Amino acid sequence: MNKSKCDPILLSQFFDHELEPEEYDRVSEHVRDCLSCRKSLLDNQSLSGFFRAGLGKTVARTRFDNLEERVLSQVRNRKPQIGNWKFLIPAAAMVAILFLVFPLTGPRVSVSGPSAIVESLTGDTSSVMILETPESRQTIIWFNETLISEDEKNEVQETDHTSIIGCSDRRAGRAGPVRT
Amino acid sequence: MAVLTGGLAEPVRSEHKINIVIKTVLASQGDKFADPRLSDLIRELESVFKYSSYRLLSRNSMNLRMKETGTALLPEDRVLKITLLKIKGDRASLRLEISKKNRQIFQTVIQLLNKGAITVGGPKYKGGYLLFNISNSF
Repeated sequence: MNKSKCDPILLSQFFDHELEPEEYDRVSEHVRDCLSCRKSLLDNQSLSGFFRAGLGKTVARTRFDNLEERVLSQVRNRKPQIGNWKFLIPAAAMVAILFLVFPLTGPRVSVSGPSAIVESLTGDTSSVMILETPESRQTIIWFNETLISEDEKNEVQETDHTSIIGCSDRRAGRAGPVRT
Repeated sequence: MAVLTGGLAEPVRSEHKINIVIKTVLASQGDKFADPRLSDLIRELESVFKYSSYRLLSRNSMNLRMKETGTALLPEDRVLKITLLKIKGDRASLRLEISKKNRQIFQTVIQLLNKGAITVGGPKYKGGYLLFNISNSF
């Protein structure tokens, strides 16, 4: 670096004391005469001082006792992150296969039909009703236990039902279930 | 492919035995009471009936083989007889007979879904009505 030329690389090495003594002297001489390089050097010094001060404060605040234990504790408590697509894609495929296969092969709880299909119904009861709950289609048979007479008995005794809600009431107005 | 056809038509099963549970419930109006042992059943019944009290009076269970008949004693000399007629697919064919003092009052044949239940009710008892909740699993 001569008097007329400014070299920022040399100046940076000068600042960091990385130059050979001979080169160092030459740059030092240049800085003395060059206002621009002197200003750059002062800027570097103030910036360096700012970082050193910050580091010093941080070091002063740090508690070094049990540091290793605290770091290990934080590492152990950290939740594992699943971000590996090599793992996620086969796992998603397996879940999809399970969803496809188990509705066909696993234990089936059907909600498509009533819980009970009434094939036949006979008896001496005066009235019978077949109900179905709206949500899970649970079948309810409600009968009036009041026994019918022999004359009434001669009437139709058997009522066939499939799964449809039905009602066989031979005595209209008799007590039945309390409907909502 | 065998896995995928597992849910299709199944043959009539003859070697199975099924477990049946009968819950006798007293439903009445007046005081509000919901037996905690009947919480699921009460939720179902409340969608159809408007009784304010549901009490579990007794619980019977039986294991039945094909063509076998089990008996449960119900209040006021009533008897419930259940016969397993057949199992086809996911339904068990059952004959239910209720008699009182040796006189048959009511008889029905039902196809009950596996893990399903039917409620038979109507007899008056202690100011309310008796309900017999019959569930099965096989």
